[in-house]
Amino acid sequence: MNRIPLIICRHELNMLRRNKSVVAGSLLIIAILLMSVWTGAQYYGDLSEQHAAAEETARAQWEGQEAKNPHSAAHYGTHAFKPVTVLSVLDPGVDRYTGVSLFLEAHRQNVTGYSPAEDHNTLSRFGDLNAAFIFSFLFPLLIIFTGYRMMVQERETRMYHFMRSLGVTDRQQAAGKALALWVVTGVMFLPFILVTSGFLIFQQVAPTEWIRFTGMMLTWVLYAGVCIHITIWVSSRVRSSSNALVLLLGVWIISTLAAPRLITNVASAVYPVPDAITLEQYVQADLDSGIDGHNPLNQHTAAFRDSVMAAHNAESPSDLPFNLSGLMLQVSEEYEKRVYDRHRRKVDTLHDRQVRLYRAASFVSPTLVAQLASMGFAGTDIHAHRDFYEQAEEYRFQLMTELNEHLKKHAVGDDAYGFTAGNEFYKQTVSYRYERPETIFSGVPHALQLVLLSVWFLAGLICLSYPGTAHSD
Amino acid sequence: MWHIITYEYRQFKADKRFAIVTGLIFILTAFSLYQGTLRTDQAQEIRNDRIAAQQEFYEQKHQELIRINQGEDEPEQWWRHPGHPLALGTFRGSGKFVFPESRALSVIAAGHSDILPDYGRVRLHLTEAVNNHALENPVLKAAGHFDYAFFLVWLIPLFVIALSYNMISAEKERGTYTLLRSMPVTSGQIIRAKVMFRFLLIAIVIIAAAGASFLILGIRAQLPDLLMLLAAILSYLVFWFAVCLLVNLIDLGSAANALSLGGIWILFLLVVPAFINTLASSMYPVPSRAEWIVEQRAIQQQIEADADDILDRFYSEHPGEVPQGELPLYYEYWNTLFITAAVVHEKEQEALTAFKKPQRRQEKLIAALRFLSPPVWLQSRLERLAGTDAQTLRGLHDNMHTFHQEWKAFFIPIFRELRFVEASEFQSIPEP
Repeated sequence: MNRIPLIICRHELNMLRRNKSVVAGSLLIIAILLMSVWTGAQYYGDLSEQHAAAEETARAQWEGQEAKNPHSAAHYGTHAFKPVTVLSVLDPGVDRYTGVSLFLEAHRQNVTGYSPAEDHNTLSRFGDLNAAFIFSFLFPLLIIFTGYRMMVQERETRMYHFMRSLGVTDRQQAAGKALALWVVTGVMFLPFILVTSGFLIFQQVAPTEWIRFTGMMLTWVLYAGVCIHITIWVSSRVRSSSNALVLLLGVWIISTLAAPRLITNVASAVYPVPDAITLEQYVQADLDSGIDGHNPLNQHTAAFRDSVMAAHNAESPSDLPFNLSGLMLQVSEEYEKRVYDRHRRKVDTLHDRQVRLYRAASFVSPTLVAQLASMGFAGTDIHAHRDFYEQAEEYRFQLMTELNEHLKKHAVGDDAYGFTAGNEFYKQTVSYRYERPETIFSGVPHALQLVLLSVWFLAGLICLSYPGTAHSD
Repeated sequence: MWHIITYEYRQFKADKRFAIVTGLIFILTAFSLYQGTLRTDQAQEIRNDRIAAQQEFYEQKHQELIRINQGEDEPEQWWRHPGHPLALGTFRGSGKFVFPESRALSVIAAGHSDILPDYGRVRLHLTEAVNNHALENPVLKAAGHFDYAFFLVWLIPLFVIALSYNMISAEKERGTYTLLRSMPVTSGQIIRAKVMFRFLLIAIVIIAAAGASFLILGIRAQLPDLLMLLAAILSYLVFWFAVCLLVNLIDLGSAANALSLGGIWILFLLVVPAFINTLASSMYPVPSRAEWIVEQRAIQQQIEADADDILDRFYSEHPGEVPQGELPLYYEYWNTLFITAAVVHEKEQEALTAFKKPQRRQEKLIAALRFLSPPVWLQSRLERLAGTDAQTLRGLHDNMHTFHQEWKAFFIPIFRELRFVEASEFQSIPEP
């Protein structure tokens, strides 16, 4: 086995140990990282308690409503609350920008409301201390500051020729120095993994959460690897330390700061999403060409009513063996659902295209793809949000169907006028509980993100195999 | 001193670093301001559409009413009567849009404009805030915008660092510092001239780039706002040049200077703001809105249950409002709704303090700690100038409430008098 890279690595580690700035910087980041887990865990505890309590109260409010017509209850509606995932402690993803609840009512599909960002302070755009922020912003900086001189300083101090005379190749030097950076990074990952594992054990999380956590770690380790390999490679290809630093900081700025914002602007311009009122107008235009369960003057409603009456040889709605309003409300609900689903899918398609563009831009920024992969594993990405929305919407439709069916079945004959349903009925209606998908990879995008990050990792590794020949004096 | 400035100028002319920085400042200024105009134009377009739709609604009702008065038309149902106060004040299509104060410099910072509501709709029975961006992709929202504020706050210090990290060290490394000292100048004069030259150069390039972009993009702003923007930018530049000066005075060599300045940049832009943010959120946590949602519903349920008591209390306090004679069927429902809505609002405001109080405390703490990070200070100044700061945008709710009072003061007496709005009264319908 070639021991030279190991010897170089040991030498570099000795040097780094004596470098007070590196030691102080590493300790500071470890402290911030552990603090982020601690504050995040507290926040998670408070938030999940609040959501669980709200869910319980919302159900109690639904069940405790006074006796009323089931369709009035349908308009009264209820709320579905988005559960907080345990891994949001490490990566809150897009959760801050999506609403915490969805109002479920008859005839409409609403947008999730009350995003935490609305209540957030003026510093929300500067980021907050969570593990994902530290891994994506601060870790690369520490790697750059620790490693930018590693290769180039050998030439600046003329040690390069001495090493060459001993038979040490460029590749061996690069491997040894990269290995030293891997050790430093590994030392920083270790306390984080231990503390977070303790937190997960304490929370008694499901096995899938452990797999998700492993996926997140894999993502950030791969990303750290990309940063290490690029740093060493750049250091081996430039003429001076200051050039290496300026170049690497430039890459960091483009990758972490400029690219995400630029892509945001480009994606919004290329795939514009309609504003809420405009979408509502499109939906309304489509709804107008269907049955309106509330409006007897609507021509489609009138035609449907006449066809039902004709089919049952009834002269008036009271002759029917069921409540006509209940039937019409259900048919109208089904039609409205189809219209809303169609428009929602259009918006989802636009979002997907925007994210695809975002992902495509990962060729200039590995940070983009690492962030997407991490929030995917944490269950705080756009797909997780969509999954919550779809389950809540399915529940809404089920609940509305139950209410309409009850009206149709029981508000018949003498009971029709002033029909109400009491608590007993509302207590029996279907209740909502969000089921998090068991599968971790919800389709191609998640796998693709990890593949793209691996490509960056491998590309970095290949670059590392061809270090500094350009400036060998 | 003038000789040193001339010497610096010649050096800069030959250095491609300066050409790159100048080019980048022009390109990024133009790009970020262009993006700002796209954003504000889109918001203005939506605003114009809403106002046009609102004007069309009332104009149509006015014409219908004139036709009815002339006997050319007859409404089929009471709710379709164009002069009915409910049709004009609260039914579908009615009401007025209230917008937050619009500032000419809104192009410079997106701020909280993609998070907080853009405008509100005021009707008799409810006020609703509308967010144009509710359907926007949260991934993009989380990434943030490439706006002029981002360019100034995050990138300008990097340009300052790039041009100033080796003011003295480069001379020493090239061996020209001794030559420079052989001139009849002190080391203090040398460094002062170098800093002054770079400061003026970057300031002129930033101003020229912004001025050209403002002219080309047709951005118009009032002089006091422009002067405040200029003062904020120059103050920020002074801070970063002071930092560069300090590091250059300590002077540990070009690479070490660059490293130190990079570290200071990270400290002020990433670590300190994130730390203040985490500190403020941990010390004064804002509860989840999930609590507010169920609380709001509990208030509504309580008010519904207490509706009779509330009505009794209202009539005992306002004996003149007690309905007399025969009333239309809809009257009781809507009148109860209007009376109870005021009580609901009052109770909701009480419940909202659970959110507003920690929010205020967070902002107070951030304002107190703002001096720890000049970027935080500049960001908040720019957002304030743009009118996209959280405080201004949250003020929309107060504006909506104020206008709601005016709206009710106009329509509710007409509703209680059981009469229609006259065609001549359309002129007096309140405008926000």
